[in-house]
Amino acid sequence: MSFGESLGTSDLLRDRVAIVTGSSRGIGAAIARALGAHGATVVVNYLQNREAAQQVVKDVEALGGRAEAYPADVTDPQAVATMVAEVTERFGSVNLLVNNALRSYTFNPLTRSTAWDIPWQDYQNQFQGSVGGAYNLCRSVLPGMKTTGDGRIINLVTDLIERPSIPYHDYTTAKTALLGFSRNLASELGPLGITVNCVAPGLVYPTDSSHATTDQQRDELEAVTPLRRLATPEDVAGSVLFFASKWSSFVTGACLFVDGGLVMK
Amino acid sequence: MTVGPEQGTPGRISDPPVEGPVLDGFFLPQLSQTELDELAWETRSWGGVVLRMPVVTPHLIDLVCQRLLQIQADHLAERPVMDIVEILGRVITRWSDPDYYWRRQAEELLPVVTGYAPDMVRRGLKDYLKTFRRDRLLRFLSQDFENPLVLDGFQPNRAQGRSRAYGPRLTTQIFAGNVPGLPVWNLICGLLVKSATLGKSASGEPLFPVLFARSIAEEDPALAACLAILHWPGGNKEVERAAFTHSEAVTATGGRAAIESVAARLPPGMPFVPYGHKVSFAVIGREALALNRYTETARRAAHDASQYDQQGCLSPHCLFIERGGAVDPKTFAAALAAEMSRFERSKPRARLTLEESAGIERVRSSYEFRAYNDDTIELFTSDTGTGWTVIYEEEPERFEASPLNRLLRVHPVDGMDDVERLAAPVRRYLQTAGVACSPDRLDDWAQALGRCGVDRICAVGQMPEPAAGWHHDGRGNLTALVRWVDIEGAAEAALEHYDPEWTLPARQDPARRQL
Repeated sequence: MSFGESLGTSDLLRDRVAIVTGSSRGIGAAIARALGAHGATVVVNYLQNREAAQQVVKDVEALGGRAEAYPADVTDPQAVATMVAEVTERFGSVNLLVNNALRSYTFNPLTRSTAWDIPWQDYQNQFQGSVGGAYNLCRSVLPGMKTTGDGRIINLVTDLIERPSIPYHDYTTAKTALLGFSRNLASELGPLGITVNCVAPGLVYPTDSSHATTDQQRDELEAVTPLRRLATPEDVAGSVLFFASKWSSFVTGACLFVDGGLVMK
Repeated sequence: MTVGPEQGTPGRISDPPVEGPVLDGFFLPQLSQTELDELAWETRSWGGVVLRMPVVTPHLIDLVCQRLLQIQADHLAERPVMDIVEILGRVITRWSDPDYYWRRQAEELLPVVTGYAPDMVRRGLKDYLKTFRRDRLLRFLSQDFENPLVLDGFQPNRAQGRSRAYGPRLTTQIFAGNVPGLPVWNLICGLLVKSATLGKSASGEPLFPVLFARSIAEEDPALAACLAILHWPGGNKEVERAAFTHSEAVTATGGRAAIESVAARLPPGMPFVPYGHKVSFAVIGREALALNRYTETARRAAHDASQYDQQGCLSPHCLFIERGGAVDPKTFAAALAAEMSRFERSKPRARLTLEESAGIERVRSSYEFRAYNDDTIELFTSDTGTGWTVIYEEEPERFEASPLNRLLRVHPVDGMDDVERLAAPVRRYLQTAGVACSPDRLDDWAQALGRCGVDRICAVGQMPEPAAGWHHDGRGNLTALVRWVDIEGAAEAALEHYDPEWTLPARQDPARRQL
């Protein structure tokens, strides 16, 4: 199934200038393609993988959209500020932000750290990537969003925050913090017309991060999931489209679980 | 595992030849480099995987067979069977490592060669190869031989005498290409009965037997030297005549036409073990339709029908669903359709030829039309394309073979009587029956299914994964290859008559006699 067939194309987001962090591959790339396919101008932010980011740009262009690849480490406030300034200069105020980047993490149920050996530094690294990255991006785009008054911020968390089937301590704790961060932001920014929502995917397969999961683990997860399969990057992108569109104008501080019904909340 | 009539030469779409690294699509350790250099060669592309193969002539077959016979005599004929089990067990252990070189090659190349979804090939190979672990090879042997040491020497038999089983010195084995990995079973059967194998790889999938033979060579070159794998166009009379002349047995896995063609050309008296056209089905009892079971049952049935795109002879053509369960058969068909759709999403079916797609479309449209004003028929299909099809049909006229590639009929039944009646016309071709029912009904069901003509009864969800040592197609697969030599018990007793003590002059030993 090609991308255009699964999520369609439109010009619903034609007035949106979007930054999707960590979007050279996996879920981020699917989100960038989806936003582009629906008319947004998309900044494909990446850390290292320039070639992959360029490919996403090409994909968006092939779907009739406008995109640009932009390298920046989301944990570096200066780099983020520079990126946002340049993007604003070039395309106008950023009014759609998707915080998807995180500190590189491999979801390997066999080699994960246990509660009794995980160092505090691992938690800090994840905080820095998930919450710190979102913080840096929000700080930089808020001035513009405040002016135009219709900003959308969408933060990627995980369904593990409600159901840690496998305890990835550092990752899930940081994502839980990101949910708290988002709700506070929603409360503060609601009066300014800015919505802040979270999308919480279940295990997404196939992606680079989920490659180390075992067949058996995926089978078991599928068997207990009401929709009986794992999430795809496109499933996640679909929910991001909803929060990016006018169809969710009156929703803020929400967390939408995209995990086939594994978590019902 | 065998194939239906349509799959004799799997009709996978090959992309136009692509320049890529040229891989060896043959296994000929018996020939020296010089001898190989002198052969005529050709290369062919399988969906982009380019294989180099020698052009097979009767002369080449003569040479290879002579070598195989010599090596078999020198290195295999007197080798203890437990030695062979050890080595094959070690080879399988290597294959169980996801990073093993040949496994990675197979996982990378076979999806390209066959068009099967990579995940399906990866998991299918894993599930298949584990049925050849050392302990399972032992079970395989003991299924066919009460005492496997009869392969090494004369062992006591029930008739008061002793027997030994001799395998063929050389077996020509014609492999199938519908299910990747299948020829491993043929190769292992041959080696366990100490036969050299001249293998003819299938045009649908010629690569895997070569990769597997190479992995044996890494573990034990002498054993691997008893295997040769070549490819020639099926039915090449001169080549096959040469092969059959040197062989003491022939096995063939394939469609009806291919098997009949081989059978017609065998020399008189040649032992022939055909694995031909077979069909399978599943019967789902009301217990498996319980509210807390039916979705899981549907998932298992969808797996059985979708794995290897339904190409195996073990794949169900249809499901019989018992009425009277917590959900009715039509609801079950809907759940099954949803599971077929999920399987398609994660492991998409291979692309089909126009002819194959047209076959599915034809079946679909014949039902579509009738479904309009007939409640007893319902058609469930993939949103686009021919990815999967579930046909719910309450009153089938007879057992209708599926055109395969994930097209499954579902028929409600009131019990085994209905199944027996509907399956009667295909009794000669029946093979596997998957069952899902309460344990106390298994015996009755098994009796009925046995009467129907099936030769394997397994759980729904395990149809594509037969247990090691199954009497494949209803016979002992190793015993089918061997020739028995009996020493009669009476002879042993009678030979006492000629004990040297009674028959040779006593040696003179005056000193002792005086004692």
